[in-house]
Amino acid sequence: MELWIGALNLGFLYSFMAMGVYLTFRIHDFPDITVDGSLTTGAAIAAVLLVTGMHPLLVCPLAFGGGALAGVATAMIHTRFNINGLLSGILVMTGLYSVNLHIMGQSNIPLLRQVTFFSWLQAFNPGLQPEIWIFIILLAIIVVFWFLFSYFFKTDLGITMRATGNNSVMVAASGVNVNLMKVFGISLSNGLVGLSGCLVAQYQGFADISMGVGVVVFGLASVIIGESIMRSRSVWVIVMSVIGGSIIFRLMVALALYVGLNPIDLKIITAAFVLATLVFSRFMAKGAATKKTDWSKSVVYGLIGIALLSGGYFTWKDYTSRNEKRIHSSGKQSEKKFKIGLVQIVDHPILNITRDSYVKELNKLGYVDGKNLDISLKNAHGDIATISTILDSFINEKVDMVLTISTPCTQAAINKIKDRPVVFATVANPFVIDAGENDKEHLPNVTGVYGSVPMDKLMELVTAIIPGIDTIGVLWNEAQANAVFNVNQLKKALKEQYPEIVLKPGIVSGSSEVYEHALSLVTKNIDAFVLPPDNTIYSAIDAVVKVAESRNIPVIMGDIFHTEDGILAAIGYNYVLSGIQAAHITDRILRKGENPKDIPFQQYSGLETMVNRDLADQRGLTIPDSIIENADIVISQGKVSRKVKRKKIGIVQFAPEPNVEKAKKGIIAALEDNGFFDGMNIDIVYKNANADFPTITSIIQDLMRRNVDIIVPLSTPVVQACVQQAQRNPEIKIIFTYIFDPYRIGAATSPTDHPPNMTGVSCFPPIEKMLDLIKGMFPDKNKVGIVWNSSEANSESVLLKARAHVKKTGQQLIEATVSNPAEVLEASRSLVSKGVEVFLNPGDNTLNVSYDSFAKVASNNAIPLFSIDPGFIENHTVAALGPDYFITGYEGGEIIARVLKGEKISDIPISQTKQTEFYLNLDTARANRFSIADKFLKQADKVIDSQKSQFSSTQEKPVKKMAILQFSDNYILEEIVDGMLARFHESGILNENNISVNRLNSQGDFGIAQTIAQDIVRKKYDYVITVSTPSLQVIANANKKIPHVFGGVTSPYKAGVATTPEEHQKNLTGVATPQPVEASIRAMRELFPNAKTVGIAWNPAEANSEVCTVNARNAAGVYGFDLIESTVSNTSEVMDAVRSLVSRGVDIFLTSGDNTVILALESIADLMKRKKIPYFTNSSTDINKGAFVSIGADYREVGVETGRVAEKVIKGEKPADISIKKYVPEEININIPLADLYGITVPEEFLKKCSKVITK
Amino acid sequence: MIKIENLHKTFNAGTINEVYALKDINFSVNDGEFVTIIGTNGSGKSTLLNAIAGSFIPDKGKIEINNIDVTHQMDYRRAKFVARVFQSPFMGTAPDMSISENLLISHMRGKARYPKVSLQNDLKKTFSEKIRYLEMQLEDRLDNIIGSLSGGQRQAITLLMAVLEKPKVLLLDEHTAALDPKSASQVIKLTKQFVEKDKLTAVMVTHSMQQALELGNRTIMMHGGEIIESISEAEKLRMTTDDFLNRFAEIRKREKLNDELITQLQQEYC
Repeated sequence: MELWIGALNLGFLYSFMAMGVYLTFRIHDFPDITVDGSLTTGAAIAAVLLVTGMHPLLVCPLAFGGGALAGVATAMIHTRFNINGLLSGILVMTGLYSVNLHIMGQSNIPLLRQVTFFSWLQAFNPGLQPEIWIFIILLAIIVVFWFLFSYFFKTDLGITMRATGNNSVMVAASGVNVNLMKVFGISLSNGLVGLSGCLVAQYQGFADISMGVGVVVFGLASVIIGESIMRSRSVWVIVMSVIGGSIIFRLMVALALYVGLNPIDLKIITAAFVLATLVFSRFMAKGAATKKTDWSKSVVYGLIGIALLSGGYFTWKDYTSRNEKRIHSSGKQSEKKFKIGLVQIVDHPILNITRDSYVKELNKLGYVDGKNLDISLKNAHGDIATISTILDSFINEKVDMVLTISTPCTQAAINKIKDRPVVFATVANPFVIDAGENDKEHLPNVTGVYGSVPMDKLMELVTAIIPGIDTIGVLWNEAQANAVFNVNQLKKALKEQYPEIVLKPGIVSGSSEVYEHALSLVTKNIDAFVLPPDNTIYSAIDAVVKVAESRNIPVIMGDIFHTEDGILAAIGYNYVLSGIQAAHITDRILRKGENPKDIPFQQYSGLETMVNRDLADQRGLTIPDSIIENADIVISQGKVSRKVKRKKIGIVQFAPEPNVEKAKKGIIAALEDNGFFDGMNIDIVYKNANADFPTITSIIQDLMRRNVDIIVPLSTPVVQACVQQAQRNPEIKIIFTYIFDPYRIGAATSPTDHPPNMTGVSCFPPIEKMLDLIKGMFPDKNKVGIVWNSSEANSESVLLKARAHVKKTGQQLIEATVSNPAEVLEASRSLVSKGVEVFLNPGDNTLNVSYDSFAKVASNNAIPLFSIDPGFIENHTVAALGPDYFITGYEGGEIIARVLKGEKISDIPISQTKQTEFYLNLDTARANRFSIADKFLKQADKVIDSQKSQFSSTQEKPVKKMAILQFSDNYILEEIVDGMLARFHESGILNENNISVNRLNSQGDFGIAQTIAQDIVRKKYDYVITVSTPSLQVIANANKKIPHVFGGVTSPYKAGVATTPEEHQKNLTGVATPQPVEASIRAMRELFPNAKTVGIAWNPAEANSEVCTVNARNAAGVYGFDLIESTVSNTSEVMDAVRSLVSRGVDIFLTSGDNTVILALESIADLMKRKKIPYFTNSSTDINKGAFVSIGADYREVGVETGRVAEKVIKGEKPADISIKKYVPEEININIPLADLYGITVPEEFLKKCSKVITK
Repeated sequence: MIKIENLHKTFNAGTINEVYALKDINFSVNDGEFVTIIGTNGSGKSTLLNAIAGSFIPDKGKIEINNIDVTHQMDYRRAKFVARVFQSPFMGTAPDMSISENLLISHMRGKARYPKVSLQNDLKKTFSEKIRYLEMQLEDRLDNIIGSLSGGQRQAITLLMAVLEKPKVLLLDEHTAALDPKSASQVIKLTKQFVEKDKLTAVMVTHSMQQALELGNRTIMMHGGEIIESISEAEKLRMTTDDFLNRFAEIRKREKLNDELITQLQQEYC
């Protein structure tokens, strides 16, 4: 219904404009293009005045006056200089563009917060829906307008004006100054248009420089439609027909959208409709000529009647149903179909990418179109009025939420939609359109994702690549608000950080002007083009590149999607991520029921850099290595390689316990909310010290060795180990969480006084709150008893605070200390004998071990037991109040996100989690006959009550468990697992099948591996995946039932689980990745066509090595080499064996997959270099250590393939039916400078196959 | 009423299309006089009329109407007291407007046009009576649009509109040339009646020897931008069309016309 009323209202608003067009088109006989400009003039004047606070009633006549002035200009040009009317209109319209921009001062003025004509009128609304009230007001205004105008056409002046248009010669001959009459008519016409503009701007909530474009066509269409339907000379009918034409036109647009037509077809439908009406009316005119006038009169009356009746009907319907409350999206929803309306302004790659990734991520989150999701994707094709109609149609469809992509759509939506959530994406700056004051304080139903490329980072890139640059040329379109904002930021960055750089501007108003402005800038001796994001400029980027190339001037821009030739470097956002972020926000609102008011605006997280090395070489510029290494997209040797450069985060816990899991979940949630997704732009490694102190240190050292970006230690012992490392290695970053008291272990002295590379979140137990709670729940039980181990520093801190607090509360604290768990029972009983009335567990580890005894004593003596650790609530504990570990994790995650985005750790103080979780156990209370006041029941986060089974169990589908076991911390195995998880993430298979993954690591120890294997079997996992041969063997041995997929295994046949690819142990299958030995030999032949002998050193005790050597023998035979072998049994023999091979005169040397020999790699490489013998290996990183060619397997790809096999199994295929797949994705790396040593040049075709090429 | 002294006008001076249309014209018309103008094509007849109407500003000379110097007045200002009927019956009326609306336009000649409705019943009655005068049964069809009428009817209405407010000068530019003989004679009859009734000062350009003889007082003859002959009313009464032609021959003798032109004249006027 809103759709039609909205269309009617728009029809009314534009009817003034249609009348104006009629005046010039029919009466003065030229289509007045000025209209496109004067509509905006009216809107501009209105907006500017409204912002100063002028009353809307005063503003309208002034807007009318502004439009009239524009009309005077056109008329003067036409009459004075005898210029054709059409041309005069075009000239004035063109000039008005600049004038309007000057009036507005910027390209868009939001009116959301101003008192507009419509918001002023709402004060008189007797309780109807706003849109309907507006309809009534507008109807009244239009009726008055109709009377006035019809009357005008009957006056002497009106008749004269009409005659002037009909026969100006005759009128002149009757003494009329025709020119004056034309000026009057054209200015009146444009005054009406300006009035339309003023009203439309107030209706839609903003004035925009582009709102007039194409409007003259609507006006003409309205006039023609009107005339065709009502053919009559009666002035009443004529005026009515123009108004009617405008309304019909708008109704047509609404109808088209309602029916589901693409707005792209709107224009052709308009043309067809107008044609149809013309033909129809001509057909009708062939009928009785005299009856014409009567017929059209009745049509007129009929239409008036329909309009009034429908208006009345809608009003009545609304009035009687206004007690129906609208269901908001806040509040928990169960399984229902969610409706989302998505609208974007144009078809543009960035907007499309956002939209597509949004929809894809929604699917991954579990929303399936057709089942529980109904999403409507609409495109306004550049027309702002159409956005309004699209939004009306969404309201009509009763969507739960609107997703807007791009600023104009967002602006229209926040004005129109107040009763349901609006989520925006791909908006540069939501504050400029009045969506809020800052990220947290914003319109209550609006939230979303935004960001503008930071201009200071852009300048950093520019100055790094072109040192000593002093003049930059910048092009932008002044009418694009985003572009203007960016340029101002750029200027600011220049002023603050690079004052010596001069900015030469090139301001355009359309993409056709880009070329010439670029040319003119080039003549001003700029050193480079720096182009901040601007759609107009980017749509004509080829022009800039052409100009720049001809003068050898580099181009650097703020968008990374233009990797085509010509752009030297760029910095921009990965809009795929913004779509993902928006999808997550949508999920929070729809499924989790969060209120948009509580969701702060998020900024994009995916800022990426692109550099074109080829272009740099051409121009004689060197891009600093630091930039290349950190760049995300590098164009080198004609290839575009996207570096999947993900930051590594290592999360280390002390031992497995449920609270830690909560904290970890919190960390992940915070990271995702900030746009960081594991496997996408970060890699998370989970480590578990399994309660062993020395393991902690080795874990941390290993993480450091692997160049993890941030280490996240959880719980006191781990943090303590990190403290030492932080002091010794200032380059590592540490963010801790899930720790009671970081100060006590020396991590810091105060929240702001901490090491510059370490900060975090602490979660000191809420002992004060706990004591208050005890007092509140049992006011007359004053004696509180605590059992604790005085050597536990944590407990000591808690006790200190407790003692201080009871002084204020008047409670009496009675302590009993123990030194080991066995003493707990005794200590508890002693408390009872001292008359303790309440037992309290302060979170002491010793006490926790013997908690049962503690609890038993309490329950035997009907003493209420309180615990600071909610994990004990089920164990005779009546109430637990502990830190909300999820929030602790979340707060930690937020800090991690901040650091990832560039904040300095030294600037972030240590924070303390204040949020707590309060649990009540009614069963215990009942058993002990404690009465608990209702207010506590209400406050509780969770209440255990077996009578009511209030235990909210959201277990719909049974969760499936998958174990991933890797044998050790070898980085190759990590790569494989990463690849696998990335594959799972991409296909969404885990979500689809409700599978939870448990990553296990046997730390290189067979014993641990055995224990894990038994555990897996006992816990009845649904799937197990192993990475590496030892873990394959152990699991295959212990488990013959659970489906088992292996990866990262050189030879499953040698491992004993299979004889042929088809004949293998029934419950397992997987991917075999032997070393690419054959590939090495082949490469040898390619590069050294004349070589004869290949030398290899190996240890026959290594099964893997034996396989490799056998393969080498075979391959050597195929490619015509003689293979000379030398065996070793331990590392010390290696160098001798190698030297002996050298003395026997080998042409090429090979080591493959042998652990013994690999340890001496660098020495071997050295020797080979001195002897000028090319050294081939089968492990990709070896070229860094001196090898010439390393052909390894791309282990990440191996992981992906393993994941694929696992997916087959998950989808139902039996492992017995799946053959073992041999998969060796080769990764060829080469060290070019060494080629000179050997006196060869590496052929192009070979280089093309290489993944990594060292050139210097 | 009309006094023209030493009028010169050249169009498109300095270009290839240069035309010296009026060469030192001295011409006057007394109050109530009805002058007809004949001449060859391009002799400047219509130009002279346009000069009086004010369609252009002359290069040299003076034009006075009713003792007011109107030489530099714009046409629409003179139109307050100068009425015209054009050759084309379509030029004088607004085709998409009603008869009464058209009459209103000329009714407002010389008056200010305000946004007030003058076209009420009283005025309509007056118009109806005036239209009756045309004897075309249009008096009940005042609300019909002009476009539905024939050329002759339209020209008649144009004529009526021209004389409605008793103009000081009435200019008729071959106003029956585009009509069929029946309508033409009707219009000529009306012209005579209107001019005589209101004693209007009129100047008429005609291609018809007959009309030139029958109508008006004086007849002047133009050629090549000059007035070459003036024939008084008395003379005209005694002349036939043949006499007219002989007059041409005499002029030829006076070497003001050549044979070609005479043949032309004969072709046109006979």
